[in-house]
Amino acid sequence: MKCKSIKSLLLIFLMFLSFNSVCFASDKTEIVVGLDVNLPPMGFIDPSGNVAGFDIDLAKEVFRGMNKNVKFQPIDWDSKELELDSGNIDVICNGLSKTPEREKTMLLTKPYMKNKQVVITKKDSPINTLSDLENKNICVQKGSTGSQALRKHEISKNLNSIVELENMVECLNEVDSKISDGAVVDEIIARYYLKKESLHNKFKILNEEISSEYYVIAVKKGNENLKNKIEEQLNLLSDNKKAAQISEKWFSENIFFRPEEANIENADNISQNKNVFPLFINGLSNTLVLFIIVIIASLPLGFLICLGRIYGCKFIKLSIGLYINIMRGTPLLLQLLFIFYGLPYVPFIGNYISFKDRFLAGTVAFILNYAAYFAEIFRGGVLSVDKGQIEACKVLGFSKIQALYKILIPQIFKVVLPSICNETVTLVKDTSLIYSIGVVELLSNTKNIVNSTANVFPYIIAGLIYFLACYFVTWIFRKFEKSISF
Amino acid sequence: MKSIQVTDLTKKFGGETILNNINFSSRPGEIISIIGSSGKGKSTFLRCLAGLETIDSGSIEIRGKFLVRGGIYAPKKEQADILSNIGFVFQNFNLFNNLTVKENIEVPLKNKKICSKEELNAKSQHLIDKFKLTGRENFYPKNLSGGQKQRAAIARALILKPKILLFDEPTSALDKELTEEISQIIKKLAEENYTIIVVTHQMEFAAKISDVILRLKNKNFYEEKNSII
Ligand SMILES: Nc1ncnc2c1ncn2[C@@H]1O[C@H](COP(=O)(O)OP(=O)(O)OP(=O)(O)O)[C@@H](O)[C@H]1O
Ligand SMILES: [Mg+2]
Repeated sequence: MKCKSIKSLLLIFLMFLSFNSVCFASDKTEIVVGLDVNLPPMGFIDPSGNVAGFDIDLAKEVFRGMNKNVKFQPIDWDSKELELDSGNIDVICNGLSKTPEREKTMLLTKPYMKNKQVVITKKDSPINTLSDLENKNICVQKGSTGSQALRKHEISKNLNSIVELENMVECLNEVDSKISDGAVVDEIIARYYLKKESLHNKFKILNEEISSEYYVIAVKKGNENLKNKIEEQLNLLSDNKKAAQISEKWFSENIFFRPEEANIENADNISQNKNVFPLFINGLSNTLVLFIIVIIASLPLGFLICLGRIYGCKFIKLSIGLYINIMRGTPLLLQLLFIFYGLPYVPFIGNYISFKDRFLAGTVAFILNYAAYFAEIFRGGVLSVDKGQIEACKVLGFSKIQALYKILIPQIFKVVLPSICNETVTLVKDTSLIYSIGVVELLSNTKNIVNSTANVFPYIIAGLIYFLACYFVTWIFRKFEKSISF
Repeated sequence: MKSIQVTDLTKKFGGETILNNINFSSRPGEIISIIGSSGKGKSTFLRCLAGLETIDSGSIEIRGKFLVRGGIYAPKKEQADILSNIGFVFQNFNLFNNLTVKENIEVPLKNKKICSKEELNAKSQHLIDKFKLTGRENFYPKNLSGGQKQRAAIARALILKPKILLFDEPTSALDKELTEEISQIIKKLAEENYTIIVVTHQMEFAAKISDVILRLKNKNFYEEKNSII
């Protein structure tokens, strides 16, 4: 009886699933448009909190023509293919450039606008041509057309480094604070942004382009119906001059063109390295190196901090207490961001203690954070040692060092081992947070691979690697615990 | 010669006076018992002698050298030197949990780095035999019986050859037979010219071993008639 009801539930569930996947967006009355809200003027959150932008206005007009309600859904731009594939969103209309990869993973309309990938630098920078970029540090938005174009361009071989950041504003900030010498950005977006923020005298855009491409609208693969309807609407908007009005509103000129007239001299053929293995290994090795350095440095540091907190003078005790509370009371992610991006802006000391190297900054942040946690664990261990043990040391004439090294540390070690193990396992997983300051590591590279191949299998591999690493750490600690016989 | 001479010792905890103007002296080879009801300050007195508590006023002189004189302590280095004359056997033994019996006995001497491995081994082996710990050398404290812990603690206290031995409730954890055994050990040590001070609850035990019995009451010592001798 019970079994039967479970079976029928399962059946309903399966029916629901299959229904969902055959029900294409064009049949629905509401269309969900995915957008990266950090992409002005195509799509962004305006000061009053509403989504706005050229593509937003365009999408509204397109779907009004189709008698659909539009809902705008902010998404992680890296995951746009998956979002579309899973049906979370129906359409991407947000400065999406046409590339061969995207043609494989999504269904694209004909172009409605042309854009270039250009290099932006500080106004006073000595860089004026692409060849001046030799040995320079360049940043790009992660997963963006600019990123792919730059790697494809021959100049990339002569660069000192390419760093991927979350969005264009971050890229410009890095250029502004001279962490990077230049950034590769969408010309349309960059020009709009510079104009709006009155940053014209801070930055300049090089004349030579890295690549050019066409903006298109994407729908889920197979949904020809919706695609055709959108193209139809775009042509209509071109005919009735609505599109031109929108364009003028945002760019002070009409750069929209009628998709049917798009005569594509195939846009620069941007293609990514298909062999994803090196990318995977590169991420894995960064993760591993980070983990090893952090664990080796933060354990002894944590112990010293703990001793300072227990035996130090009042000032030391108070400052350590404050430090530990800050480290434990704020997110590690925030600490990472602060140490890399925030330190240079701290008055007076900012110029001296800022980090130029991302990996170094991240490592320092991790060590500081984990040392604080370890210090608290050690403190618990120290307090758990019976006072009589210390008195025995005293009456037997031990020096302080001898007491610490022969009696206290071994006993503390035994007590703290399980908690240290726990924290170490957490560190294995926390390492992925370093992606936030533009360092590639196992998880972010896996995500890149997944997004460029639209195949989630690498996630499973990455998950397995994390799992095995945690298992291994736990196993080592168990061995340690067993080896302590007292 | 006096091995310990205490004059006008006063000890307070917070505002509360525990020991008030105590005078006390002992000679080598003498066994002195301190009795008195719980919480009167017997342990506190021993801990003052061993340098584990700081006294508020008075003097403590050990084998002719002042640990404290008129409430003022000797410099740290000198203190350590003076206190090396004293061995302390704790009520709950305080054996080092992370060391075996043999390591517990050896570690104080090993720290001094004054004798070779063979010498060290010979000395600890002698004590292990003397205190009937043979076969238990490599046991950790958690695997010892109460009596074995007691004897290991005494052996450890003796390795540095102190002249004075302080025992805090050495028999409280022991049965009659083991109490008898400890009595013998203590008497034998006195014959070897150790000065011995024992804090105990057991009047019978005190009477059996002591030359002098002191009762701690009203924050001071009163000599008790030894009815057995
Ligand atoms: N570190 C301390 N701080 C404050 N008070 C203390 C401290 N140590 C002991 N005392 C107090 O001093 C008094 C004497 O304690 P002590 O341990 O010397 O008693 P005792 O005579 O050994 O008792 P018992 O026979 O139960 O062992 C007690 O009232 C105790 O509460
Ligand atoms: Mg006591």
